Amino acid sequence: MSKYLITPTLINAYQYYINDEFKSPADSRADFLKTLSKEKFKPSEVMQKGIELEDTIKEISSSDFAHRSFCDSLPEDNIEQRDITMLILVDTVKGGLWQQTCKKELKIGNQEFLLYGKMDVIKRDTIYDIKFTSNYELGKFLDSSQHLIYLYCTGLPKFQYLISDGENYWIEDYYNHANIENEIKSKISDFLGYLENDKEAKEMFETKWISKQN
Amino acid sequence: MTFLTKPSELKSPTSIKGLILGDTNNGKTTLALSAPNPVLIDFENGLSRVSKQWQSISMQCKSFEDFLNFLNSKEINQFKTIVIDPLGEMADQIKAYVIKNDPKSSKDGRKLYPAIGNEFKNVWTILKNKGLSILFVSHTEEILKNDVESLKIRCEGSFIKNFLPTQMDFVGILRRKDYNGKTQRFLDFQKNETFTFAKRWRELEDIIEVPTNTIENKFLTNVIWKNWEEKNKKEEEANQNYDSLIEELKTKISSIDDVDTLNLYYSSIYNQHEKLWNSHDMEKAFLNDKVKELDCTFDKKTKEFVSNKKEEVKTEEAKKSEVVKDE
Repeated sequence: MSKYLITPTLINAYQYYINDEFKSPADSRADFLKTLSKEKFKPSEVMQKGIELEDTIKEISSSDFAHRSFCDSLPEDNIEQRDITMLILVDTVKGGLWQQTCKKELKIGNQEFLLYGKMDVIKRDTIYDIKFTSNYELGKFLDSSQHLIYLYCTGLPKFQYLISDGENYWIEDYYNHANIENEIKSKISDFLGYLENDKEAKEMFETKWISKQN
Repeated sequence: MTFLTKPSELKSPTSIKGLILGDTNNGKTTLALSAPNPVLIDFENGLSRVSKQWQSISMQCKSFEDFLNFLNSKEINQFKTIVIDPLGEMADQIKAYVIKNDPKSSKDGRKLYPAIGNEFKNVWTILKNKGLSILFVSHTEEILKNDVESLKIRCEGSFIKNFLPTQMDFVGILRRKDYNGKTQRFLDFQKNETFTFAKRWRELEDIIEVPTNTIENKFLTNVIWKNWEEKNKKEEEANQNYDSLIEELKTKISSIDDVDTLNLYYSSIYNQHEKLWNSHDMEKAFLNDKVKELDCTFDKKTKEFVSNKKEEVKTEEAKKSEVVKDE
């Protein structure tokens, strides 16, 4: 029996598709199928801003020279809010390792899965994920599978979303706990249950998401 | 003398930042006053509802200016915890203050609410810099969203509502259960789809029973603050252990100066240490740097590192011999 790959992007794309109230059903479905097909697509404006935010934080935090240059470029007083935010985010992840991968096998019934993810930053006991959003609401990432999968794969105790709109920042904390495996299983089971009623999506999943680690 | 500090040498904060939510008249203020040596910033005359024996020193706050003046006075230094009650009323006073200082632009909601947010951020910075523990007390309201009841902080302006909980060490709701004529109260820190912004540190239980005061009002001091101190102590120890381990790995790997020693390390030492947090990833990163420094590659078949320089030398030797053959 084939082993399938499961990533936070896949599960989140499914959840977003099922719960989305903002896009038209056709647009929503197109996005979901794009993720399932593993097609490379042009990042949206928000995604692009997220990439830029992550790149800037990485650049400033990864070298003492860049960090000093950034600090030197700030005025002595009246530092702008966006620069304060940048300093806080940079200090949070400074010294961490970027883009480490994590993976772990998981069995649901007789079916084997390989959970896989690429973490933005891992530092000491915490995994950090940098998010850009233009409209933050409390608990925005509560339902995301990202913290569950990363915590489960690494066994690390803490996960923080570092969220910014470029001006302000917010932090959401999540912790490893005994029930995390069941929570992941429940999310994957929901997804698999859905696939049973969506032939096109099921076919894509079964062809594009087979793990090479069989 | 050094100006630098290692992460493990950083002292954990002794002050706590918390937000206590709950319905009217269920004892939130009394609970907040059980924190160490508190002063109550009373924005709505809440102290009058607290039993006489549990009352604390308070500042009866009639305006936001009063509060700012108090923050800048020496009087505040005698306390360990500042209790702000309720958050919604404080936000209203900030609004009045902003309107009073800039009546013209305050007529425009697009300017007024960001101005309230900025004022809150300023006062938050002042409060944090005092080094005291800070407790906010707030009423809640329930909003129906997608058929799910969602708990919200009762406070005007979305900035404060969204910003404040993410800055807290804990956000809990004081719940009350009545049965068989008995009342039980709980502090609930459980994050779920109704209470999306609940927050606690990992070592704190999701739900903690709050006993009824009999002799003293010390629940937060004896339970929550104590748990915080114990957590910090454990964290400091773990940080020290982590730093020693990383230093040890770093020293071992930095002393490798040829491919043979690198292979020896890889075959007998690598990935053998007792893992702590991301220590294995750090070891991998140090080793990758060393591999780059020694200019070698990993041979998957032999599971050994091979110097690229040797290859180059061989290639040059081969070239020379080819030249000789041609001649």
